[in-house]
Amino acid sequence: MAVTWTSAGPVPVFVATGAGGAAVRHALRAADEVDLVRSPRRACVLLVAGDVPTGDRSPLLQVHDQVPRPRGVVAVGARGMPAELAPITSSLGGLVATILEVGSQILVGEHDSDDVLPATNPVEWRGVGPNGQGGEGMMGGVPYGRAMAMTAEGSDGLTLDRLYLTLGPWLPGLPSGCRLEVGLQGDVLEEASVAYPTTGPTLAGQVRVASVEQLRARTLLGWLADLTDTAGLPALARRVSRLALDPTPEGVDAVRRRLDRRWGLPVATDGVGHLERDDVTGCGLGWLARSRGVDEDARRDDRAYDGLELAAPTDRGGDVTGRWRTWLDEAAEALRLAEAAEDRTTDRPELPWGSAAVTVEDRAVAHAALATRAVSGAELGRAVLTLASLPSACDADVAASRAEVPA
Amino acid sequence: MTPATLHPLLAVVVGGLVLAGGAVVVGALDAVVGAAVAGDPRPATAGVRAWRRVVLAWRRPGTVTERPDLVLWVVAPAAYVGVAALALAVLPLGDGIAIADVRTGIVVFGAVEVLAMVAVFLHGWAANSALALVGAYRFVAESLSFLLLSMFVLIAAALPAESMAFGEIVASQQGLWNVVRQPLGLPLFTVVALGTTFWGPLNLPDGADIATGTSLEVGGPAYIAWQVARRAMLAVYAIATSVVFLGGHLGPVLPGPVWLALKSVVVASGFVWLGHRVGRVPMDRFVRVAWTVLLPLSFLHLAVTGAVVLL
Amino acid sequence: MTTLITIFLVLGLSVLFTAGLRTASGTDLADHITNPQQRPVLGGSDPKTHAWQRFHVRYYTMTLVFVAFEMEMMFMYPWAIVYRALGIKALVEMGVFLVILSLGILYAWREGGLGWQ
Repeated sequence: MAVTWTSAGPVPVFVATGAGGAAVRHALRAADEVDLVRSPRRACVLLVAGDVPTGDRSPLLQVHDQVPRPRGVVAVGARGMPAELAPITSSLGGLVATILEVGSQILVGEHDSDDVLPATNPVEWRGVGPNGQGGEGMMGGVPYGRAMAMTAEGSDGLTLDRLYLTLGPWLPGLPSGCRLEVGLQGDVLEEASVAYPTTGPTLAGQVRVASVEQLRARTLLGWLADLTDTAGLPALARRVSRLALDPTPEGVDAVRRRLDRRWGLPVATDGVGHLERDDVTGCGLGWLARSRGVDEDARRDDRAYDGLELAAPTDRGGDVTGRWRTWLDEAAEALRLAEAAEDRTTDRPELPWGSAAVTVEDRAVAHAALATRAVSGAELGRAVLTLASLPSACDADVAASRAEVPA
Repeated sequence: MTPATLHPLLAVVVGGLVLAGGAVVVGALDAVVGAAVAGDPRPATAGVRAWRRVVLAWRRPGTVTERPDLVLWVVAPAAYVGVAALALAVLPLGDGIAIADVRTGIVVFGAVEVLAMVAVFLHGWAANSALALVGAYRFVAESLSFLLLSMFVLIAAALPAESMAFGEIVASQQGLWNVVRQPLGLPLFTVVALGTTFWGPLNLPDGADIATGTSLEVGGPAYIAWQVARRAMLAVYAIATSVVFLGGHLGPVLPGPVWLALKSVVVASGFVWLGHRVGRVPMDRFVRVAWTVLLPLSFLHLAVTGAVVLL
Repeated sequence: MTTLITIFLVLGLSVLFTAGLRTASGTDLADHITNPQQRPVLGGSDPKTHAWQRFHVRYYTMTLVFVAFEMEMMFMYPWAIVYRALGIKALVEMGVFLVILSLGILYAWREGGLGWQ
């Protein structure tokens, strides 16, 4: 009876979002039967949404093993899954039903997913002494398996321990596929290096202007939902996710009224992650330049947008608040353009995540350089929030990566 | 001094029931208010869903990390609930009904806040995980900043009562509630309450920006124990706010404990709503604002209260 | 004395409650925990060192100011009880005490001790 009563969910699911899987995350956040958890240790089902880049496959195996057994793996639109995982594939439409089914099978013990990494500890725990002590010494040696952190001089002159970590590609709070390699001293990033994935969705050939603009609205609102969640407002993030699945101009206004209050989201984002105007000019991320009033917009030169009025970009300030206000503005404008565009098509679209003239690799490099400059020397929480305000193409819709935008 | 009129065993039962009931009520309020803020079509069903979520999470297996400090990891939620029970013990639940209404109630309350800080720190430190450790140290910074606010606000409440016992503080509100004659007290104490339970805008140790910090490595029953502890503490703070500012068990017609329960539910709803409405304050900004704005405000509050008392 | 017994009983109750909550589900620790499952959650990568370290606490200046105020707190507790009897003199004296300590906060603020760097 406990089983049947709880079999209606909510099933705790950890979403590992790959390239183009953001729509899945928003659909699940808005769903009642699924509980998105922020740690694999609290999950029952590991959901892989979107393509898995090659370099991120073994971290995904690590995350899979950190989900406690019994567990299940479900994949949605995931190309490049590692061979060791045997996921249950699902479409976006039947996803919640599949998750519920897997969840109830796990509850009664009928379903499990084996460990994929070898169970032995690669780092031998014991030292040379009879009680496991000794070895090469505490400072810089390998006592009990892992080394202790070594010291380094901090920015304020104190020499204390520095942890070198990679906040990996599958950490919730960071954009999809983003790796943050840090030298963490206390909670300040004394050294930081950001890497964005060099593969991602593209739009090829002739695409309808209306579809591009609707994709823009969905993508920008999706970014806003994730940022709101990371900023400590999960209930409002749910509201924004619901809007991101099906945007309307009235919905955008309503969300703006709720978020842009003095004691609302700006409390978390004001003054965080400041970027100068010079940093964002020419970075290949159209919306970022426009957030500081720099008019880099491929749509102005595009014949297909003739007659459609594009608003001049305003300088919203270089912090995270300015960036998410730009997202709201551009989403509202995109919906208006989609309404007015009718049947126009274009072959050089201004993508939501940047200009189509820049290649994916170049954009990833420029994006990473910009993000590294923004988070170096910042406190960890501010750094993560800054990165959440600088998402990549991988945080776009599944449909985009399949180039399902009709010609 | 109002003597503890409850037999020790009865007191234990009452305390346990209030803590458990308070945790359930706060959890239900959190789910319903969250669903309303999220724009769900039927917010009232969120309470049942939250209960199912708790049961499902409770049945999942727990986990352990490499070389954790297991004893302290297990002790941390228990210690947190223990200090919540201690705080509840010094609050008057009705006229002459208290588990242990000592003469130095305010001092015990301050000690509870410090011990709560230690419990949360241990929860993050014991896991031997980098993000959990960051969460633990953040909470120490946050806690030291609002501890003084709590002290000043409670002392200002003690001035008219000429006593540090919470029972006397309630008695001193016979004529006028403290929320009216000490208006700055309630907002400042709200900051303290949200801070000690690291709720909403002050959820720094378990924040989403460090992937839930101290709770990152925690799963299964241990996670449920931690969340129940937090909600129990929020319930205790709601009761404390009602006792110190809203006249506690004072009120016409209805019996004292019922009034206290009603006021506490209203206050708890307010806390929960703030949690869903205000974004998480960045760490360094909170420390700066607490020391340069809130603490001087509490000095002003104390000065004004002192002057009013002498009139 | 009864008060003390009561307090200890209440403490004991809460500890037992938490222990019961963890063990009653029968699943407190998963069976066969492997080493990869024990690695700290960092989004998939392997940590190179233990997390325990000489943590660079950035707010150490603030803790010194806190200790100063905490000592002042010790004096405020009895002050609150005798306040009404002593009258305006008590208010002025405590005001002077607070002003002197506030200079400490002002100094820490101007020197950047309340920040994070």
